[in-house]
Amino acid sequence: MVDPRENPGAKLELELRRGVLVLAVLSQLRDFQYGYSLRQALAGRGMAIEEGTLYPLLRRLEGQGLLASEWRIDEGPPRRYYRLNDAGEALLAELTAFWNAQVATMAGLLEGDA
Amino acid sequence: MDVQAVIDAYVTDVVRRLPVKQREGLALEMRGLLAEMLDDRAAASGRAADDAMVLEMLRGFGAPAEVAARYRAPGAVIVPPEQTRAFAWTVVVGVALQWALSLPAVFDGQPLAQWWFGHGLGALWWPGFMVMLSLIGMGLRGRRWLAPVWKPRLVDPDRVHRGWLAFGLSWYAVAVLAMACLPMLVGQLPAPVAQALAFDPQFLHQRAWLVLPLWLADFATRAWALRAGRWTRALRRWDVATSIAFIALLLWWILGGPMFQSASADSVAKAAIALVAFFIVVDLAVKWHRGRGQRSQGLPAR
Repeated sequence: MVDPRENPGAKLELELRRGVLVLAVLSQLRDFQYGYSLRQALAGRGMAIEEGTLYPLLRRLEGQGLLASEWRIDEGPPRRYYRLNDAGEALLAELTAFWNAQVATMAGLLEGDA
Repeated sequence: MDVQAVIDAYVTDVVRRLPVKQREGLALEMRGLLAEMLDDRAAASGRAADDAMVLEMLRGFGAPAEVAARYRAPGAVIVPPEQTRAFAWTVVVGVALQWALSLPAVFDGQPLAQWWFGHGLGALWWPGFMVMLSLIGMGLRGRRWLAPVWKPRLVDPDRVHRGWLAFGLSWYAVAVLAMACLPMLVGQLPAPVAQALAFDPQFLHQRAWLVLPLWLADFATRAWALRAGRWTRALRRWDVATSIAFIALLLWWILGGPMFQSASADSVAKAAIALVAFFIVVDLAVKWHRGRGQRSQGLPAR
């Protein structure tokens, strides 16, 4: 990993990624996912998130009342599956609208630098 | 090592840092996730999972304390980041000052162990006191009783607040009058107190009276600033000259012989005067520093 003290750009990129992390996770939880499958789904779409960051985030979002969870035993060990509840759906819609507005704003701002 | 045993030990180390009611479910979930991560790594590397692989994976996942912290919601901040530096300095300087004042006893023959279990460890009340204040501050901030409100600083640092300056000058006059009458007042006190606080006659005749013109000059400087409503460059220079003269006089008082007839009163008074001289030096340093700041900002001299 690049030391942010040596590379301020890397630190700022990290902050930008951190800012979109919750939205990215919420977007993939319209259907039930467990931690590992969610990570695979995100990585498959170009949003690789470290396990040590993702798994605690799921728990925190559940603690904030945004996710519903249930244990399932299919093949292998018992897994805890997460899905958006009503509050999570509402937040996802709100954050998506905000994100789209920000993207449009940023595109306008960055246009002059292109 | 059994890789599952290593994972179990790691998970136990994480969950013991979390609330009891979360531990069981979280441990079960983490074990499953870590086992799948390990299987994934083994498949990617084309060999069975071994000690090195599981240790590398767990170290990448994070130290147990860090991982447990990620599972918790952000806690309350006892010392806000913008106050951390000042907090650390206040704590360190407070302890260092107490040690500096009490350590000389060790050089006078007090056993070091006695000092350490007395003033040495005793000085640590200060960090504890500071933490208690910070906890109270945290509570007040949480209830929005300490919501900071910005107020403009004095825009013109040379301008004086006439009301406060007049108030200070009136007390200055009272204090100078009391000090000037002190030798006579001491004579009116009961005999034991009068003897303990009796001035050295040579001190009164040779060194003490010089403070009166200095006080007068200092009083006149401030009265002039009050009249003008601001500190001019000439007044600032005069103020600095008076301060330097005060320091010189106080040093002469300390080094030039006894001030009081009683040795104990003399040593206490000289310690107090040394402290006053120190404060004047600090005041001069602060004024010089502020003046340098103004000059570097290109503020006009008046």
